[in-house]
Amino acid sequence: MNRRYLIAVVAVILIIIACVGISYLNSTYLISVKYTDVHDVTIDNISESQVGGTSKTIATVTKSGDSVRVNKGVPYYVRYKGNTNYADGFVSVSDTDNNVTIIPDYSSAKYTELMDSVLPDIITLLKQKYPIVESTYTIKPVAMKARGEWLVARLDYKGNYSNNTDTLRALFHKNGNTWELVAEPDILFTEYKQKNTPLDILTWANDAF
Amino acid sequence: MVVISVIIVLSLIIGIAVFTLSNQVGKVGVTIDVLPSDAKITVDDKPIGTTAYITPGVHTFKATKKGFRDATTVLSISESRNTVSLLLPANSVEAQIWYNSYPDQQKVQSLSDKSANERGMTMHTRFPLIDKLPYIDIGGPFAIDYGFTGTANADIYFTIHDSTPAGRIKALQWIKDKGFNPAELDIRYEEFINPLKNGGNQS
Repeated sequence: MNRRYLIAVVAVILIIIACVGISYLNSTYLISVKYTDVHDVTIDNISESQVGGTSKTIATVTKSGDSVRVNKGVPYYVRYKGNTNYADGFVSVSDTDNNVTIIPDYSSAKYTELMDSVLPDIITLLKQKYPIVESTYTIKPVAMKARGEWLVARLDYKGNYSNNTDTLRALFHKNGNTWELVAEPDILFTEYKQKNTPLDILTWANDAF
Repeated sequence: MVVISVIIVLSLIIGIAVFTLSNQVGKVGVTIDVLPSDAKITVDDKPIGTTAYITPGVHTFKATKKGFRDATTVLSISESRNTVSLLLPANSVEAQIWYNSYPDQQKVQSLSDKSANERGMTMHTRFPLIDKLPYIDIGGPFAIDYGFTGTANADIYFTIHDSTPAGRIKALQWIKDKGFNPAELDIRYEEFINPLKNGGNQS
């Protein structure tokens, strides 16, 4: 009787331990962070940073590939500082998307330098498709994204004001070392006209100026 | 040993019950009425059956079956809106015969009416901007209205008209100010002719 009782108690304790263990594992998850070209990588609790107004760092990622266990149900982001020519930034993390690879964007200074250097190329490209473009518009690159993979240029009408003298935007994509014009320059880009371009790129291009 | 077995079985039953209930907390039980009833159904591209527990909010329901056109509806699911009707239009002779010989024609008609009603709701769910139109800004100057493209998925286009270049900028800003992303909308300009259209040889 005593032995049976002992076994029952042990079984209950084991079940409780298993339940607590499973509950803990079920209520937490690992954030794994890989990075290059950045430093000072931390994992911050978004909700606490909003309440306090300052960022609440819960862990520092000391080397690329490290993992940190965090509680579920709390929004986090991985924050970083860019090395030379790279921008500071952050990546949102969720319990369903917890393998973070930081690919920092270029810094503003780097983009300014790049835009100056690509202007002749994009003017040539535009002139090939639209021979009147240089005489009709002043062409100026205004923004780049994704390490210079995307570029949006502003086309300001040169002539007298009329009903078709809207400022246009032109969107370019770099394929290898070659720039491609994604779509006919237009007042605004939409996913209805530019079906093969991601919505976030179209939105970014529309908001660039 | 019997005691241990009972404890383990009870623990398992309680565990499964807790897991099942926790999966339903904060969700709405949704019933999907679909014809043909063996069509594959997805919600937000994930396969589901004809009943499912879904988080309240906007979801895309889609039914597909060979020989029939896809039926898609976008609905805002809540406690008060927890049924979805999907009627797949016939896209082949066999499918048309299937409908004609379906024993419960009343159900076909009822589902057809409900689907049409939900398509109307889909339109408002997908394009809530239409609730604010038409809109006229004399000072812009611009006016915004909408029209139907005539496709099965209740697609809508928006027209900016009676506008100048400055008015068109204001019209797009007005759309943004209302909380909509113009990049997601089929926007057309009545007066504007792009000087670069067709390589700049449009005139």
